[in-house]
Amino acid sequence: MFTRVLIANRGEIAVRITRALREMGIASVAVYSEADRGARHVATADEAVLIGEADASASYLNVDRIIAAAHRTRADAIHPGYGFLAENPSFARRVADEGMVFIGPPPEAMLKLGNKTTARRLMRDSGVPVTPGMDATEIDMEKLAAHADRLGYPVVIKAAMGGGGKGMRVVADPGDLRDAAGRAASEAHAAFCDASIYLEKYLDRPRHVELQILADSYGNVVHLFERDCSIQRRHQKIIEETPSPALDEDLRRRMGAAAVAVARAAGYVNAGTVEFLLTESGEFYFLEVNARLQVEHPITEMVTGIDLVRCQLEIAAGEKLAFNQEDLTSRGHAIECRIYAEDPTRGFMPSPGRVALALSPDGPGVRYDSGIWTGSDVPVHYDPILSKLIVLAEDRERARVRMIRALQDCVVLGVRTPIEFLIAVLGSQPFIAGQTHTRFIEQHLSEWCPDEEAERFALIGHMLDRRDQGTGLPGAHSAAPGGDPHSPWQSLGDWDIVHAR
Amino acid sequence: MSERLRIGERMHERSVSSGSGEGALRVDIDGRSYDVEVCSSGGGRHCVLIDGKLATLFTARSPEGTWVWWKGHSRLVADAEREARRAGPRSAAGTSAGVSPATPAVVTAIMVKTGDNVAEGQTLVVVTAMKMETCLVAQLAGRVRAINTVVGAKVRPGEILVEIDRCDIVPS
Repeated sequence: MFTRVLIANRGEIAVRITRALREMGIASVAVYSEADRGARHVATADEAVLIGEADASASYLNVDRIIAAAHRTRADAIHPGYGFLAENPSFARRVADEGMVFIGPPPEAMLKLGNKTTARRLMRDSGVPVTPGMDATEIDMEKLAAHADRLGYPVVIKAAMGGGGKGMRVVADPGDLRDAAGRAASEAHAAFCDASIYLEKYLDRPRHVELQILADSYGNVVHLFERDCSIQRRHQKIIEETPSPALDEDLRRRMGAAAVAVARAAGYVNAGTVEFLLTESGEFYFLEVNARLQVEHPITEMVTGIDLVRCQLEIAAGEKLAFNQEDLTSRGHAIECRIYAEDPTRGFMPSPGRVALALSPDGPGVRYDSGIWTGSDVPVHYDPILSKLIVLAEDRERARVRMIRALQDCVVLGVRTPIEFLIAVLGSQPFIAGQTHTRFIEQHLSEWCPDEEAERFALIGHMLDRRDQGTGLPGAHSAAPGGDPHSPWQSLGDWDIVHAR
Repeated sequence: MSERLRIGERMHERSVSSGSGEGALRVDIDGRSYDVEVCSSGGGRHCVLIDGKLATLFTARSPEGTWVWWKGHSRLVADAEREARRAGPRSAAGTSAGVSPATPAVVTAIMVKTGDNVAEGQTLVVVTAMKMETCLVAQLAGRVRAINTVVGAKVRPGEILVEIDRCDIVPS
């Protein structure tokens, strides 16, 4: 097993990986940018190395600097987390060339799967159904438009190297194609350093169902059941659950077999996720493989009792899977809610800033994977995910009400979060009925607005706060809108931690 | 004394007086009264009875105002009068306009230069926040008077990136 692992990531996932390393007796090395000096992932690791400026290209996406940090700290392996360099085959190859182990799939498998158009061809050749769409990327607008006409609108523009909804645009009107393609390509370039895009037919209201897989270096491949990630906004998942309300044993078995076939076709090793779209009539289509640990991996850990990050480390260290398919069972029902810094009242616009207060929910069946503390900065440069709230209960309904209870206890102040909105989704009749699909939010919650009673409570809270602070004119320190670190209002934040928890 | 407070776009009037009984307060909000009895309060945590119903509120301050948490709901309460004083006099409405980002962001492209004529809805600046690109567009047709930013700049809401003077007749 490894002695020291560098985590080439930030935020909640870096904290999550550090926890697994600590439990395994492996030293952890964090890397950080200048924007993340005070970040939680830096403080929780055994060592931390400053690798560059705030811009991700100078830090979390900078291969040379990450490799140098790994050598400097004598790390013998690198865990990429998700996003950033996680699915970059040249990074994986470089890590190996430098004499270290990349904790993830082999670069050859990544190359086959990371490019979505290549992956679509491979899957079709292996007998796995794919959605109608293009098999190659296209930069010529005329040709792109011709493809769109052939597929029939609506179409969806996707980044070939994409993920997390970035570089993705749904186009219903042919007149919007050029503009949307330009934005998508630009976003794709910013996020993945690759602007290639292609088109797929946009399926109306499918479910997004994905299968977790684990594969070792000895040809053993298992799946750890499904996750239903249908509740999305801006093509990004916000609520995930397992088991899926839409799967029966037969469909689960068939999708599981397809997922294992996908992994074998690609020569996949380590943890990965095979995503499918599932139509109302029960047909499923291969969407893509996420060749890495997923944001929503904890719900699978909750129902299977298996630590996926530990499995990743064991597989990367050359160990055999300790179980086969028959050993695996799913027990109970798990739900995850993603807590982003974003404003649900303004189209989920990002809301960077400083976390003025953060308190973790607790109680039976509750897990909170957080990358923030009170006083944490949420920089404008990176993904807006703050934390993930995960619950486990005996069945779906009990998990649902447990999640609502836990969200009510999950305090995040200082930046906007969708917590109130998530409670509304979980309390909605179609969610209770399990009728989830990828356009759920626009269909059922477009009319949502925040609770008015909460405004009156807030005005009472504001009054109580002022009485407490004595002098209390909030806003009196407004001369420092950029957040002067020496301002007494920043130390007030720290003072809050001690007393509130 | 009545105060004007702002939550999001909404203005509220609030006044506080002592209520009946020890530690009891009467809080009037937008013409409705609430009996508030403080059980414990300090360190940003407030345990209160509001019209006899127990509630726990968390508060924390930021440069923009006071954040309040109640059972999954968070609100930013700002002092409206203070904000109005700070904003100062504005140029006459309708004759000029500036574009400003809705959230803190980084400027990725500036699509116009000083002196350019622009149409309403034309993209002036592209900004990115947390990897999401947004186009800031002209609110009115006119001429670009000033560009107050550069590509790569970190910008904040309220900061005017491009100023436009209204001019309906666009010279050829």
